[in-house]
Amino acid sequence: MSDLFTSKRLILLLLALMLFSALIGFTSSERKPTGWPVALVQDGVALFQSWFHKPARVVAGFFQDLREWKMLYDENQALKANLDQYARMSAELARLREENQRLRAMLDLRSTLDTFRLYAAEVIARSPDQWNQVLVINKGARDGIRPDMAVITTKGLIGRVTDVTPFTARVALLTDLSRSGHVSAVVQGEESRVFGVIDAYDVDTGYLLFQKIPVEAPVREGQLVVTSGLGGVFPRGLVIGTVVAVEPGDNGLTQRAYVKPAADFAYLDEVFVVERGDAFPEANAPTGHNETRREGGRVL
Amino acid sequence: MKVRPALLGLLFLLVLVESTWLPAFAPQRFGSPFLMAFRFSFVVVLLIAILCGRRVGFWFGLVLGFLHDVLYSGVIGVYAFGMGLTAYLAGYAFLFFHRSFLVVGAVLLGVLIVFELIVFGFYRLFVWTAAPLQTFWLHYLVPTVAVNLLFGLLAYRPLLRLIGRDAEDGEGT
Repeated sequence: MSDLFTSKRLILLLLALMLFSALIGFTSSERKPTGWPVALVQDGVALFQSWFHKPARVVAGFFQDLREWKMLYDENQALKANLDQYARMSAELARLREENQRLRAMLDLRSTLDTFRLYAAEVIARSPDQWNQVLVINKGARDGIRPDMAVITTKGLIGRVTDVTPFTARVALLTDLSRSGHVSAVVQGEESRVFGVIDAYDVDTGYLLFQKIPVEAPVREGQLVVTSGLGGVFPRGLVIGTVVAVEPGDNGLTQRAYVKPAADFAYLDEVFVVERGDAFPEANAPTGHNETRREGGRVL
Repeated sequence: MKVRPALLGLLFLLVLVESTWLPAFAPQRFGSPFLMAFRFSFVVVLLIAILCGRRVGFWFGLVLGFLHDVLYSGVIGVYAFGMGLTAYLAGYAFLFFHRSFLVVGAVLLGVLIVFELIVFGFYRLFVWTAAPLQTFWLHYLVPTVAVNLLFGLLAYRPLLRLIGRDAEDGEGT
């Protein structure tokens, strides 16, 4: 095997390494030059992937139904108990929303952070490897999807759109924060709101790391963490997860909380892409979640 | 090498299955700490390199790597480099060995490990993944290499029949 590294081969290998390093550096920048050939390949493969994904979803759905069927009775009991409370709460919510609107109108406050529009999309593929946590969805630039939009399921935030082709879009999951970017988040406490940044994911425990919380801030287990709407293009109030543990940060000046994601990253079939209110024309609509329909989109 | 259309079809099929059906069976979906990546199309490319020679394998690996880069990471080059190089190495090894079942298994094992090291190395180097080294060694490498090696051993005989034994042209080069 000593002649594996002849001088010719060695030079070729080094040249290849240099060439590929340059290519990697060139294409990994934030503003990547994705031209039409890349989009063509992505859309072309996505077409086949969507055919393949349909039967898979039917089978997976069948097994999920079987699993859920077993706990249907208990769930029904619990839901019935919740329903009484729900009626009371929705009345309360309507009253509060109306009051909030009235007070805001009095203050002449127009926030666009709370308004958003949802586009329903189906997942057609998922990256097979571990180091890229990427979803491919069947809505693209033609449907109004833009890079950096938040992506949620009915349970909570799952990630961010990274790049878009005419017919598909790629979503970096929260489990891959180096790709999906940091999320500015806030803990919903009873008396005060605590801000921080979700900037890491612990592969072993499956928890998100919520960091840079002020040290005196009251954060407790079980509190809900939502997006803050500060920075980026995420709207306010998208559910991220619940706090499961709090500990002091590395330097003692901040705290760190572990957040259990509300969304289930294992089964992702239908997702919603979120467009923040100020991105569409009727931005100065009254506050309150204003979910409107657009062709291709579906009202939640 | 008259069966190339069939091979290309098989590879494309595996690329599709890898991203649509197989992720549902990975252990991390069931809450296990172990991580598994299915690289069946790459395993077939390695077998092609073993059966048809290193040059053919190299081109298959390069193209499949580019496809993977374009589809899933947007960063072009990591998989193309890794797959091209390792497919070449897999083919190269059989300039010296006979293609017995055991040796094919051993070469596949070695090359799969090298490939995972290359890819993870690049991703760590450019900090595209926050996964610690510990996770890679303890939870990722063994299950991933094991499942892909198993697939490779199962697919070896059918592929041998598909490609045929007219692959002698690969050996002399």
